[in-house]
Amino acid sequence: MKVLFKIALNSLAVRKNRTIFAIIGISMGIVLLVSSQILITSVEESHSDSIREQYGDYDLVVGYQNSNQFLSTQDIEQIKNINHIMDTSPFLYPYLSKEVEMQLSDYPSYVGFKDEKLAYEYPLIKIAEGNFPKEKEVLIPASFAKSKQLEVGSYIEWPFPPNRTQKIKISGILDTDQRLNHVAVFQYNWLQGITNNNNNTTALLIKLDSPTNKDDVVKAIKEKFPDTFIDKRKELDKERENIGGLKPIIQGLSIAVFIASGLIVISTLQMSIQEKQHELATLRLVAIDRKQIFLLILIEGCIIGVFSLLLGLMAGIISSMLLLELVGHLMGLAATDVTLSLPWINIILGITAAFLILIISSCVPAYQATKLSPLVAYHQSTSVHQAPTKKRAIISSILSLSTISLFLANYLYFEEKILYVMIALLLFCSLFISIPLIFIISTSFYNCLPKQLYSPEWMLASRNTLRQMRRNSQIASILIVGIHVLIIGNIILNSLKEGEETFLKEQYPFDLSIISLNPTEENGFSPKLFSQLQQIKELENIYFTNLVLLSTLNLPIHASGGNPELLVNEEKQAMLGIQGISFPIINEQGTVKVVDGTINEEDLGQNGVILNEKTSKQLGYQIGDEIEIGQFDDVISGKKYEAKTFILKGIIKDEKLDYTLLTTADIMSQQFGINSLYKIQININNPEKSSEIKANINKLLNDSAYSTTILYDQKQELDKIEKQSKQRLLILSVTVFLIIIMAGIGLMNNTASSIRERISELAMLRALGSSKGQLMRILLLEGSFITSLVGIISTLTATLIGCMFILALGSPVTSIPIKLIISLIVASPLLGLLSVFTPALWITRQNITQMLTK
Amino acid sequence: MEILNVKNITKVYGQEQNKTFALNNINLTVQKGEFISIMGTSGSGKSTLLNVISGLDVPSSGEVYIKGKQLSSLSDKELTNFRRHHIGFIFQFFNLIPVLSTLENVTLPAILAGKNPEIVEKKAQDLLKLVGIGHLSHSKPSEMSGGQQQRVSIARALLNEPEFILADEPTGSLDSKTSKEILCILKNFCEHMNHTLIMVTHDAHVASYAHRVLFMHDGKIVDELSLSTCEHDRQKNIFDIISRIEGLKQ
Repeated sequence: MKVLFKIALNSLAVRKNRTIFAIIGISMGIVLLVSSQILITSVEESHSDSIREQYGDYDLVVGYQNSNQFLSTQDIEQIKNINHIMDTSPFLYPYLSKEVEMQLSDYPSYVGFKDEKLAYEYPLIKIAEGNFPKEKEVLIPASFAKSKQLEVGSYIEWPFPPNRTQKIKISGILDTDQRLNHVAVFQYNWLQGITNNNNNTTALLIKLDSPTNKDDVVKAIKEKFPDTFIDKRKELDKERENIGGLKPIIQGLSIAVFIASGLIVISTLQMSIQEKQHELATLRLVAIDRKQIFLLILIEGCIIGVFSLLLGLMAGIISSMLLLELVGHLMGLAATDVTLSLPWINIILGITAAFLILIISSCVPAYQATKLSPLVAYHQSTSVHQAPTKKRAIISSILSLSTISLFLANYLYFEEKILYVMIALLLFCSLFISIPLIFIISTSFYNCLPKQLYSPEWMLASRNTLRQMRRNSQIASILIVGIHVLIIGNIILNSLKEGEETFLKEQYPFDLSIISLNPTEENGFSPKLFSQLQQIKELENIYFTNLVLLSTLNLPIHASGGNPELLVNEEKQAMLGIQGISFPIINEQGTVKVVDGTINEEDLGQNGVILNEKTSKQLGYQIGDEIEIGQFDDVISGKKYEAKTFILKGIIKDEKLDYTLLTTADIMSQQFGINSLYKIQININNPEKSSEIKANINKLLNDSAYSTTILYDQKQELDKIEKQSKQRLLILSVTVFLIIIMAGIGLMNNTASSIRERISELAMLRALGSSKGQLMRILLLEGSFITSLVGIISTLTATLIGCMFILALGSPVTSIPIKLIISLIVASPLLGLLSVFTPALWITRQNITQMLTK
Repeated sequence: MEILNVKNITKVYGQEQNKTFALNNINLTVQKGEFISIMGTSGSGKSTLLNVISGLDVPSSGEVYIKGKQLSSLSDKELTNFRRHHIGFIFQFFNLIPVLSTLENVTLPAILAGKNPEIVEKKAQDLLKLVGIGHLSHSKPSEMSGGQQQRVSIARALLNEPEFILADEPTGSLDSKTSKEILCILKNFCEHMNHTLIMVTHDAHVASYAHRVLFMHDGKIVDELSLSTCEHDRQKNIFDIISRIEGLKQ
């Protein structure tokens, strides 16, 4: 074993330059693996810290939004026992919505928290000065302290109805944060007692074991306590998603890097075997057996692997340190927020996986080396033309043609999504199998050209490409992987981005949307907000009240729409929503088009409703028809229900309001007791004043009465999507760039090795009258021929595969990266030229006589 | 007509204390249509002399004139051009391009020179027929015997109608029967087409085909023999000189 190790080491040392380039090539892949793990973990942790700082590290708030209902101690115990809940902390607003009644308007809102870790995550507990309050102590807002000239240690007397006023000590002052201007924080238990709220809790902060379990927990809570309000903290999830969403992309790209690294190892070791056939033959002749040959090549692979891994690991850590700030900035984090975090377990796992792949890759050339017959190797008489076998040629032809045919058949007739995925994978595999055939067909095509177009350089370059078929196929494979990852990644990411943008525009078609955090059927926010918004001149607003779910009771028999499962008196009915809307009705483009009837508020009267055109056609209701309805829950459960009748007064053209009856807010209030709004949609008519207007709206929303609303800024959301998309594309591009560099290094090594093998042949060309320029051109053409051919074919197949994946996702193919495709096709030959330039230049500078004698 | 004039050529390898004279003050003239053999043992400098004559190598001192043109005055491009049009090479190990067919190997020098492929191909076919392998024009070198490959090499060397042909051990890799055939072809070309042929060999029998034999030893031309028409005499004369030179070596 020791001897084999020494031989392997010497063999690599003799071909020092090639070995170094191979190590550099593979280590680049390792650098990418290591640095991506470090950077994503660092950014994720820094981002989490930043989120925690901004939003607090808790996942849910469960409770009530008034001071009439509370969670009891038993309720809290039940909630705590729900699976996945790691920690809870209660808080109490004893006078929520009763400040006026209790004559406490001049005081900050009283809130009680426990002095525990989770409580400190709540944004209200930010102590600038002093300590958390004990009994008969309070934390007061900075603005209150300033206005009343109070400081830590001062005493004040505050009312605690229904009990008398209390003398309380100021234990601390809250941060100067706008959110903290209106609260005074007390010790929870003491506040319970002093306000006669023993056993009462307004709401509970909840920390889960993992944010991914949120939906399950919410469902469990709703089952036990259906009336509670649950704040799911969607804004927090969105923030997490931004970085978390990158992880799968990086893991996926790591696979591509593994494949490319494996191919480099195979290519390097095969070159090494080719060059030392005589050596290996001599070893076989002196009675070294096949197993030892196998081990010898494997040891070479291990040595290259170990050096590559060590170099890659060091370079990965160093490059992460250097790039951390830049990457943080790209992810939207301030420089001071980003700290380096080394996920050793992930790094070690990644490196181990890479090493195993390198070992497995080494087995391929090692096995091939054992197949060499000693005498054949001794005479250096390998096959001149490593042509694919007939069998392989037939298989690859059939595979390629059948995948194209299958795709056409599926596209035109079957349209099965899963079939698209299968065909895409089949096409990808067939491309690898068909590489040699593609080279042969291309060179044959050249041979069919008229003799006048013959160029000796092309003739020699194309033939030599075929001679090095096996090694060129491996280089081609690396390039194929890179190009496919880039184009498919681009197509998918762009499609996802377009989908997200379309969805966003459908959800929030107006410039701004104020939406209740509660579901649409539950209590929303006060209509007062709409009136306040109407006072801002540059706005065009429309509101929607909360929605009531209904079932029709008199759906026309001929109706094509409706729900077959919803039967009343054995007749199919339809599920509808009814919602109040502000008038005049507008959409994002302006006034809504009236198809039939009227949409004037006055004309709707006491029971007029409006439908969109699509729904009216599907349900068969026309202007003047009576629509009889019952509350959906009652109808479906078979309970006794009150039937109501509405008249269809207007039909509008609107793509979004399917199966929704629109009516006035008054009718909603009279008929269903709905007095709150679910959504206000706002268009800004004066874009120049946009920032100022948004600031005004935000100021309105700071009122605690609107604490259950969230503001969506369409432009901001679109910008976020754009930014996210750019981040992902950047990561994709960097990875692919490295893969392409690996291919370039592989090609350079390949060319250098090939030149060494045929040095006397190239010398003979010079002796026969080939100029240095011609020799250079032959070699440059060899390189660029491979990369051009692979570039063009890969680009086309990658585009096709990308489209198939999009079709498999059920989306239309709307964005093909034409510029990227053209750039790749143009750049492909350049990669070949750059890769082979140095070895080609070297050979042209050699002494012919010395080359002839080699 | 004098076609080659070599004046005081010396080729030195190594530095001061380790100097080796591969060629030591060689003088030589060759007439057009002559068939010259250069004989000598390994390391005598015969291949070096051939390389210097062809311009593949540069002498340490002295000059080579081909048709009155001084080789050292030519740039690399001019030398390349010169080799393309005026010199044909035949190597011991044939040095055919394995990925090209016989016809393509033969036409390669002309294609590299930018000549019309169609015209060149016809000429190449004729040459292949002349050397007896017209039927193998589409075969690859790996499909042919050594003798057949050497015939291809000869056809390639003749395609551009060079002034003279340089052959370095052309029969070194061949059996005796094939060697004889090859030598007869070369001699025919020399005599009937008036090509000048300079051949390097260590084989007395092979050398005996030439009009004149130069004997080299330690980088010098130590003897010269113009050969009689009788084959037996030729070989005998050659062996005599070799024995004398071997005696010198001892």
